Amino acid sequence: MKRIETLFATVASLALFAMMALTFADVVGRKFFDHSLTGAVELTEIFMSLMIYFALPLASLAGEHIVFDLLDRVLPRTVLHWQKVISHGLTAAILLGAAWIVSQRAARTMDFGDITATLEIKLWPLQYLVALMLIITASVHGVQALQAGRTNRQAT
Amino acid sequence: MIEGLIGFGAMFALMLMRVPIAVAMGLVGLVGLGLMRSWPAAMSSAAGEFIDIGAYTLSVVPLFVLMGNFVTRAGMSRDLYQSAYAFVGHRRGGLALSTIAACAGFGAICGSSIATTATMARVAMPEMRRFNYEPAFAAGSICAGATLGILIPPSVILVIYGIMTEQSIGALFAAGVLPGLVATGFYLLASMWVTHRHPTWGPPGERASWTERLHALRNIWGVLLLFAIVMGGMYGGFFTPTEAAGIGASGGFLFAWLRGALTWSVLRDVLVESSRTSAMLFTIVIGASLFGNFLNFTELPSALLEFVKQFNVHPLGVIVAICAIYVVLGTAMESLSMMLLTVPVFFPLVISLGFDPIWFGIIIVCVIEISLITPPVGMNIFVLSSVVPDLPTTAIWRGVTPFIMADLLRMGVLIAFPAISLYLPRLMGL
Repeated sequence: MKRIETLFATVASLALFAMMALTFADVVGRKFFDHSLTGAVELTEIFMSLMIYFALPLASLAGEHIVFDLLDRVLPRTVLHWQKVISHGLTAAILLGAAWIVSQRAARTMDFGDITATLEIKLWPLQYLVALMLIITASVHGVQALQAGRTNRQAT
Repeated sequence: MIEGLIGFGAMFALMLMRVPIAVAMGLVGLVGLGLMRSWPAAMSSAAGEFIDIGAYTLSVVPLFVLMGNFVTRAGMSRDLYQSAYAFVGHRRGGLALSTIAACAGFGAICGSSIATTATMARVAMPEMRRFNYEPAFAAGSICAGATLGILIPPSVILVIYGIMTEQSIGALFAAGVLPGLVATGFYLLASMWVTHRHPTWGPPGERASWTERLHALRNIWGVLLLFAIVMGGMYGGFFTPTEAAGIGASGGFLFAWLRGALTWSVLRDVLVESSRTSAMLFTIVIGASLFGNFLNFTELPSALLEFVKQFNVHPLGVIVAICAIYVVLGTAMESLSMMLLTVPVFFPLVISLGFDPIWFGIIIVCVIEISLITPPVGMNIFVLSSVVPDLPTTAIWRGVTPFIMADLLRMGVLIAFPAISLYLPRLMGL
């Protein structure tokens, strides 16, 4: 588990660093050496998708998504637990739905054989990867829903 | 119209169930679009949102977040604080004044109020405690000063507003400069007023000699250079705002590295933290786009316009009403989601009343600044109390009150004089 987390964190970090370095190299190359990097824009887009979707399960795991938690202090604990079961469960279901929608799109992209403009990179693998990462994020929420459910049963 | 209201109702119901705001907006948007248009259309637009979030222009968001996190680790906030302190520290309330000035300076290289609060709290709070400042006042000056981070360019919030409403990010950044200075002035006045009424709350610090002052000034060259490169490069036509973010992040990286602040583990932390924050921000952007698409089909925005027109009020009255709604909403809602949720409704209204979209962006940022420090839900208050856990939240609430008053006054000034926001962008022909 810890290993997968480290792997995701490493991919996201490298992708973000690469975005930064690419922009830097592109601007410096263009201004000082009159030579911009071929395909820098496309590569940045690919790195950004990787960064976002590898970091998404980590953000979910860390509970960083913004929720309306003003009532947390006044609601009784059992209600809070049930709230967690419902909200994580619902989030998991919605993310699975999103993964399905994205995979449909990926299938179509594969049929059409869409590629990027300059480097001619195939787009469908990235889109399938997005769907996969959405499934993984959904399972993070699913596990959190189950955990909240278990504490409920122990409490009663 | 009625569908729009049902949509809002459903979304608030989901939010009350503690569903993440991004997910609530996305679900309502998708279902709403599916019911009103067709399911294939709704799903296709949803798939588009998930895939297009990797679009090049959006890379400005993670890169400015990254820049902010690098300069935070580089210890630049401490240098800024010390040089401000060298000049005004010996005055009554001088440490609070230094804090606000340092926050404004830090806002010029960091586009996030949360990062500004966290770093300034670590730098300024111990100093103000050492000089026996009233803790509430000290906390208030940090929380309020840190809101300047999103008004003074670069600003992640202005970037997101620009993307949502298709306005030029360069123009929005230029528009933020003078209002940022006005805001800093109002905060300085507010803290002078506090120490005038309660002289014991802010005892003077030590006076620095001129050699010490000049020495302290020399330490902030890094901040000035970074700001000059990013803004100068952007407005000098060397690179686009998107590229400016990448250059700024690279600059932040170099500074943190050259100052020996970057170990492998720190670098890793900065990168992972920035990625996670960006992923979280982007889910809200995806959710809000879906919700916004749905709202456009409900004709709620045009119905609202009709509704407002029948009262025949002065357009400025509408702006004041909108600001009042924001201030009230902002006490209980998280700031970014509040903006993303309401801009699709208010933006068309404001524009059709003949107001400038750039100016409205600045007004929105101002109301968001207020929402960051208004209890019970104010992000800066939360961040400060996580850094300084022994300080009761109610004390922070008391401490920010004079600064909220200053904010309201400032908003009045910015509404009355749009030129403060629009002078620079017009001067530069943006």
